[in-house]
Amino acid sequence: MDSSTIIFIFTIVIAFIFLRWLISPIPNDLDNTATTNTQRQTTAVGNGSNRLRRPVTDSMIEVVQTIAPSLTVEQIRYDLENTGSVEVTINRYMENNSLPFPPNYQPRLQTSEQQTTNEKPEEVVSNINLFDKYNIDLINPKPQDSMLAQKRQDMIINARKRLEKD
Amino acid sequence: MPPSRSTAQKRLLKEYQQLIKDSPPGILAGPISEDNLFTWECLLEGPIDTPYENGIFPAILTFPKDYPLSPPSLKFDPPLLHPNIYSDGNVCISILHPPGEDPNQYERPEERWSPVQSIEKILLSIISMLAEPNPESGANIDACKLWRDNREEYDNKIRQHVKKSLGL
Repeated sequence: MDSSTIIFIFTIVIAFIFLRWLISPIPNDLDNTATTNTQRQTTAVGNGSNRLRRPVTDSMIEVVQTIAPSLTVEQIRYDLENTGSVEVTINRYMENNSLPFPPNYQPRLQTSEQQTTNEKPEEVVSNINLFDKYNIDLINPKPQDSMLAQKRQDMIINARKRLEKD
Repeated sequence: MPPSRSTAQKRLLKEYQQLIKDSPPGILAGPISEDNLFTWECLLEGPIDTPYENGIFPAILTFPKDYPLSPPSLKFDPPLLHPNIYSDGNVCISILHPPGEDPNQYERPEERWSPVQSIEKILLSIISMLAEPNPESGANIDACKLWRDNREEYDNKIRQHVKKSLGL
């Protein structure tokens, strides 16, 4: 055999080993960085058996919430903690149209809170009678402290007089 | 030395002074307290030849911190029966919508809020809205129906509201 052929084969083998060595650490590195800052994109751990709690940021929850407004924050957070990825969570939502609730979650508590907060503003509807609302005496109006209150009083009393004329 | 004022505060103060200098008829508006320029109270007179005539309608204007980039919101307090006023008193009118294109293509960009508009223009728009409701962008479905199907009762209800509000 020609010596140049041997050298050629030898070079190819060396180059192959060198390239293998060069390429192999890269996936390892990726894995390492991916587990250290899991907030970011897909490491694609779709299996729910992985019980590792992954860090979930508010911005991740916000992204999912804009796509799935019907979900509660608790549902999204629970699923993101399992998947660690916005994309995987959204895919799961698209497939099932919902996400599982966290184990100790009590939805009723929240809805009742919402109801009470909804009811409160209705009670605070202010007085329709402007004389009561601004504490104005129609017969002998008191001079008001501020210019705005004075104008307000004049405006209301004038309106009342106009209405009485009609 | 007074604390330095933000752009929003300067602008609100300027508009307030302008409104004091020549206030348009039937409009009274100003900050509820001098400490907080971002919440105003306004009184609007109902336009004549409408059922709202002779009425005085108080409303609260709430300004965002980035005014005049974002529009204020206006809420009638107490709420008023009108097709474009939600039952909680909030007003739905194009001039109070954030600048840019309407996602529903109903409103032209120039109708919507932009920093060249002013509080005076908002209040004048509200008064003309009282005179001419816009049923296309209804906010209060019941008021819309009443306005469209039974104008007489709609007018009566408003006149009663006006009388009650003035203690008659």
